[in-house]
Parts: sequence; structure tokens; C-alpha cells
Amino acid sequence: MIRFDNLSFGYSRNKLLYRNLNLTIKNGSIYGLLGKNGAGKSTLLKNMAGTLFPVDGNITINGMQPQKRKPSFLSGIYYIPEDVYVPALTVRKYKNLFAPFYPQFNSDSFYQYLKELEVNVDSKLNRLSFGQQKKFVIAFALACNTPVLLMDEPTNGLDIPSKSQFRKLIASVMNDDRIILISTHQVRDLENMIDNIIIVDNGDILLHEPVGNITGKLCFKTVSEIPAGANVLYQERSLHGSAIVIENTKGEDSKLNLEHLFNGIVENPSLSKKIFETA
Amino acid sequence: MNDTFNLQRFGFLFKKTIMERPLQLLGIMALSLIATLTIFSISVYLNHWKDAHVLSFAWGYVGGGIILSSVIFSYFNTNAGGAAYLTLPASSFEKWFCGVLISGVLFTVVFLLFFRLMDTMAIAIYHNNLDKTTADYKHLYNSANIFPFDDRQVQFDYYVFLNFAGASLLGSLYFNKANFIKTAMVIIALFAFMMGVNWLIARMFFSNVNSAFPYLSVGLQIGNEYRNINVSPEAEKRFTACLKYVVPVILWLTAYIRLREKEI
Repeated sequence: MIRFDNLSFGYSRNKLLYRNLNLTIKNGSIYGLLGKNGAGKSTLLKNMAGTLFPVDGNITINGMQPQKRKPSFLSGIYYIPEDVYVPALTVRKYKNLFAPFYPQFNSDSFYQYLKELEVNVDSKLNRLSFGQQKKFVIAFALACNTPVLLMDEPTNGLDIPSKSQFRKLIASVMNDDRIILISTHQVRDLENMIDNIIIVDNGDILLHEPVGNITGKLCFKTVSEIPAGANVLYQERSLHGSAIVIENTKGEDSKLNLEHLFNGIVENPSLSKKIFETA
Repeated sequence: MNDTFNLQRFGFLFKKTIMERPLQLLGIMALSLIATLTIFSISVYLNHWKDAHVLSFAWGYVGGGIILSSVIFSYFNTNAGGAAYLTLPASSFEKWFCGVLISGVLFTVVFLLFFRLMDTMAIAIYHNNLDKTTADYKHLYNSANIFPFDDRQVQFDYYVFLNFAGASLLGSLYFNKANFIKTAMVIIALFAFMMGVNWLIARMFFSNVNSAFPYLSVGLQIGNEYRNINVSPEAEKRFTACLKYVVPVILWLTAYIRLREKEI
């Protein structure tokens, strides 16, 4: 479990990005951390990985504090930053040098993931394209079998088939003890994969809900005319009418549209807060 | 799990550190040794044995050590590299100790072994090539001797190495990019500041200051006469002890604290 207790963070003490943030992230879920560029997603992940320290308050991950960077903590967490680092080594050499730090590392799974992601295992890592390097790091991170996996914009640089393969892999490695937290501003990449959504903007958590709750409280549909009296969180004109996100007062079933949800929450935070508090 | 030091984990880290960037680390060591050999060879060719020893030792050991110390933590050139290094499951102590072991101990051992081998071979060749029938054979023979590693000049080099390599190591943890240049600039600025302040303080006590070296001496010019006022031998001893032991310990240990607190 990841717990934020009154966390405050800022790159300068006078200008805090997060102030008294409280958040609980439970095991057994894939969380999507959504936000615009510069909203503070990476900052939050870095605080969890222990590469940035809170100004005030606490973060605990499975009972340990990230900023202490103890080996027992670090061997249970894998953080993939937006830009990945790979040394001038072959895949095999990299595995031989880095895998011993992760007691749960599974070599067979590693090569299987590389195969599924179509990463060339014979060339040196620094000669691979950015997308290939990213896929390599994703495969390595998954093979480490750490209870916590933090990914910052993992689909940046991936081609369309790789994005699909990435989603399949993430779904396949998920279990009840694991937490996978994926930060992105490309919300469509996470569709049908995540089961909890956290939306951040300007250092605020605008939404933190399971996907099931969201479709229970909001209705996503395309209409020719907006229903009278509906609480409209978001609307967008399309060829077939208006795509809307409204408060689900009639218990309708609808399919979650992450992009529309994100736009609605960011553009209309007060209404979303009201809906999720009262519904 | 021991979160401070584990021998097996340290072994993984040491191996990973060397094998991850063999060209960079071993390359710098090799370049230092080549530079040492070059300076030594030129000086020997000019028949300046003392210079050959002193110059090649100073430039090779101190110069190479400073450069090596500046790259041992060069992961922080990029955010991704820094994050990968900080989140690698090894303790800050192990990471620091690994850096110290490579740039401080391993480099020193390799350098001293190389230097002794180079020196011994060069002197053996020189001695063998001397004409035993000439009158000055003994004099020429005795002009080239193995450079002792407890020589006063070598000891001075050790202390310079400890201070500047320590500063270089620390600087690489403060400055993520161009750390070598930035650290050098900070050291130069610090020296300039100390000299300036020292000069001003000396001027408060003497009206005819010619030169002033921080903590040690003041040179006075009175007419055509030049005189040095030195601190007492005890005070000088304390000052040099500080430079030899206290400052290096502070620099190398601060690097550990900085690594532990490093954010990226």
C-alpha cells in the first residue's frame, strides 16, 4: 500500500506544488495517474521512488519511507522515468549486471517479454531506437517482479502495435499483491487497462476513483440534444451529435471515455467534486 | 536484509560499476598511465631523472585521480541516468564506498604498481647502457635511483590528491553537468577569496604588505628590504595537519552525505 500523509512538496519551499496531500493507493490495482503536462505527475512518482524528497509530511510504501532509499525498499520497487537510461551493454550483459539486485527477477519471463515486445536482443542497448530502449526497460522492469511498479509516460515513443502489446503485458503481470501506477498525459493509451484513476492538476488531486464508481456516477454518451436539467461535466461536438459526460442520475450503463472524463474533470473541477461527493 | 552494507550486494555493485562503463573508467586510468609514461620518457630522454620522477608522478597520479573522481558519479548528467542510479537497490554507503574504492584506492594501487614497474625498467635499461669504463660511471649510475614512495614530494602529492580528488568527487554530486569545470571554478574562486581576505586582514596589521599567504606567512617590503613573517612552527604544523587529514576527510565524507541526500 502507498500512503501519502499530509505531503507537501515544492521545488522551492516558498512555492509548493503539493500542499497537505493525502492519498492511499491499494495493492492489487492498476492506477492511471492522469494530468496535463506540468501538472505534477512526474513529481509525485519521483517522490514515491525516493528521487525527490517531500518538504513536509510522509510517504510510506509497504511501510517504508522512499527518501531513505534503503536497499530493502528499492528492491521492491521499480521506477521507469519518462526518458530511460541504458548503458552501452548487450541485453544479456545488462541482465547479468542488474538482475542480481532484484531477488524476484525471472530470466525466462524477461526474454519472453522482450520477444513479445519485439526487442532485438543481439544489439547493444545504446544503439537501439528510443522506442526499443523503452520497451527493453519495460521488459526488464516487469521481469523484476517488484511489488510496486511506477511508470512515467511508458507509452511515449512506442508504436501502435507496441502500445497494444504493452497493455496486454501489464494485464498479464498484475496480481493481488502488486501496485502498478502509470502516469500519462496520453489518456487513450490506458483505456481498458486501468482499474483506478487519479487525475492531478496544479498540485491538486481532482479525482481518485475506481473505474466502476466513475461509470456509476457519470454517463458517457453521444446525443443530438443535451437532456434538460442534466449536470453536464463535459461536451464536445462531433459528426454524430454531441459527446457528453453527465451525472448518471438514472443508473445508465455506459462505456468510460477516458479522454472526455479527463477533459471534464480538469475543465470543471467543482462540478466533478460535487458529483463524486454526493452521488 | 542489511540495509547499510552487504558484501554480496556490494560485490554486485562493484562489478556493475566497472563493467557498465569500462571504457570511461578503465580508459581514464589507462590515459593517466600513458600520460605518466610520456612525461617520464621525455624527462628521462633529457636526462632529468629527478624531474622525470616528480613531474610524471604528480601529473599522472594527481591529474588522473582528479579526472577519475569527477566521472565516478557521472550518472547525474541526465535525469534518467541519475534516477536509475539512485533507485538501484544498493545503500548510499555502498554506492559511495564503491566510488571511493575505485577512484581512491584502486586507482592509487594501479598507479603505484605501474609507476614502480616503469621506473624499475627504465633505470635497469639506463644502468645497463652505461659505459663502465668511463670515469664518471659511478656518478652517472647514482644519478638514477628508484623513486621512493615515501619521498617528501610523493607525500605532498598524496595530500594534494586526497584534497583535490575529494573536491572533484564532491563537485560531481553538486553539479550535474560540466561538473569538472564548475568544481575547478569553485576551487579557484575559493582560493581567490581566501587570498583576498587574507591580504585585507594582513593590511589591517601591516602598512607595507608585499605578499600574504593564507594562514602561513606575510611578506613585508621595507625600502629595499624584503622580510617574511611566518607563523610559529606549532601553528604551521596544525595548519598542514588540517590540510593533510581534516580537509580530505571532510571532503570525502561530505560526498557520502551529499549522495545520501541527492535528489534528481
